[in-house]
Amino acid sequence: MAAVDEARKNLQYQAYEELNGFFSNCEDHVVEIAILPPAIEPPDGFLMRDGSNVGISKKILALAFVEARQRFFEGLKFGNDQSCFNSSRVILLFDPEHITAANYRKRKLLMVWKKESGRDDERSHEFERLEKRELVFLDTILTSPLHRQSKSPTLWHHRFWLINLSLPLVHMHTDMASYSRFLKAELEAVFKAGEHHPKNYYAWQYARRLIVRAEELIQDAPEYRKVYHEVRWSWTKDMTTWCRKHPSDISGWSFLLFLLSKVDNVSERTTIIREVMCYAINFELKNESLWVFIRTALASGILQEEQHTLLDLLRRHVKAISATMTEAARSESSPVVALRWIESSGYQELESSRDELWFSSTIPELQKTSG
Amino acid sequence: MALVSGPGRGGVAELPAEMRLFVDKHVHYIQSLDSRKDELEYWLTEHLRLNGLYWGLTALHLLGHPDALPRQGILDFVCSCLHENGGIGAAPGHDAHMLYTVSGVQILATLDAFADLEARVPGGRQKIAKYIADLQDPETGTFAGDEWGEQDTRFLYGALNALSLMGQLHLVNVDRAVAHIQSCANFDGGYGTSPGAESHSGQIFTCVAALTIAGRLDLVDQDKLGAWLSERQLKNGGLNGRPEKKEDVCYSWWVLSSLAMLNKLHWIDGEKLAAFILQCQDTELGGIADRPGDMVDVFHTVFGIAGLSLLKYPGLVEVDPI
Repeated sequence: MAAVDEARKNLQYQAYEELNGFFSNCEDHVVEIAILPPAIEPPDGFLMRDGSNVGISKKILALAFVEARQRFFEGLKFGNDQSCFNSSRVILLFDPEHITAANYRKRKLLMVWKKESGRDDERSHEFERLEKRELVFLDTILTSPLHRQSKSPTLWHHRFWLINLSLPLVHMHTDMASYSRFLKAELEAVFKAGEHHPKNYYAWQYARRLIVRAEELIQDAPEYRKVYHEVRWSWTKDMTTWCRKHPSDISGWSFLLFLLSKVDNVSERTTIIREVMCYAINFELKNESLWVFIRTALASGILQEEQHTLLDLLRRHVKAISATMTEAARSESSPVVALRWIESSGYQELESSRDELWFSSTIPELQKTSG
Repeated sequence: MALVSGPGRGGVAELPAEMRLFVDKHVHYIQSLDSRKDELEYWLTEHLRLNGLYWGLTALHLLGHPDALPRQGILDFVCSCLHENGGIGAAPGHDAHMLYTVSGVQILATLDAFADLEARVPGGRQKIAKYIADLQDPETGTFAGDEWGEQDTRFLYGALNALSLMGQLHLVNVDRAVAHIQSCANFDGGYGTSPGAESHSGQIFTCVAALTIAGRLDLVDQDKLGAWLSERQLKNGGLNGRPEKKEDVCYSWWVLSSLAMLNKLHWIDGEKLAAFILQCQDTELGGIADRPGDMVDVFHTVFGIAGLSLLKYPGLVEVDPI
């Protein structure tokens, strides 16, 4: 028994040292970490390298974690900062919801930030360096093909907390091009995480929080307003493309709706939503998430006075396809079901298009719900 | 469905084996969780130890075996997670957070142990209540999870739940919290983590439950939300959390109890759901998984059982939806 324990302790130690070493060597550039399927054995038994990317088995990662948590809590007890900082990386890779490890890192970052934030004349260099490295670390975990890690509420909030520390200073010390690049890079990170973990609630929630915060700060930095609006519009177009490639991703569609509600020009909103509708109709797509987007967009009022244009489009389409459908088929038809939902959703229909309600009275299924 | 009764299963099961809840197996499963002190598993789930204890304890109570875990041992553990500021962590040495503080309070309430707490930690109850109350954002009315500021309606619900269990709701601005929930209402009738966030069954549960505690269910668009929730049932009887997500046993609680609070339990097919939950059991070693065939865990065990209780499965302690 003792020999087995000893062997396991050694394995734990080595697994940790390998992973820790790996992290220490890639502090300044984002790498990809993947979990190896059980059938693949790295030659040294620990990490499988592919350029700067790495594969690790669940078993080795778990052993490294057990060693890491031991070192972390010992480090806390004896005030060994380096040990805590290093081991917290391995802890968070295995267990991204480990708030104690995440909070430790926040404390360290905050300490440096506070020390240097008294100086308004220039950006603090040590904090900037640490911030960059922390973002690299977060990118590595959040954008790697790690199913559980890429959706972590703890890590997405950690990222927001970090960005929020320096965002208010951005307007003072950053040129517009860098500001624009930074925001676009954040969306790219969310895209990647959204692909590794579909319907990634917290990644998209991070994107929302970032937009809301950026808008709050723009109030005090009006000269950035134009570039911010350009970036937000570019986010909206990129998001539309992303959603079309991932039509079953409810979180993506939900975020697109959020972005559209912020587009000032209603006609631009209509253009995008029409584009999505035609995509759905022409390809006869049945994805529930896509149709939830369409029905909500049409009913929720974000189209304002242009609502009837797209409602008419949907009604004409439903009329055309319903003519040859059985009752059962109609109740399974995405456009028909969506129209039914819209007409029973209590949406505010404008005077000019009230006549169109006659249509719903000609289709039996729709009659049941619209009265 | 054919009637199957295996050898050695003494007594006559009124229900076919596929519709049977293996109570004893689940009790043993939960009891075994704490005994794995040397196993890897124990360390790997340390960050939610207290939550796990709450889930296990609740499941045992629902199964009619409230004494299957040692009371003193549990109280010792809760107290060992209590910080000086009244916050509770997931395990000894772990940072305090609303999520674990709420689990701690729920455990104490389940064991009717606030007096025991006071005996060990004078003023303990007040300290915990103050920790929770101080996390309210006075402007927006919502709650942060801890000093690092993440705001989420989950924490709002947790706070109102724990404070009401301790009779300390007066420490917070309930009206403002209610106003915040209203600001999180989406067009589809659902709720998210904050205003404008995506509707999600878990968040819907927290918002509806918080409004129930505050006595303001009148603010919910009940028909619309009921409709959105009823769309969660899939052909296999299971419930999902959002459109196009897979079925998952834990939604038997989040979605079902939301419907129960809205008096719309009948808007989903209860029989099909019960059958689905039962298929998620590990009938050999006990415990319930997120869907049939997957690994069990205590989280899905408690929520599967709670779902069955709401569906009035025989022999279970009834969960009060309010």
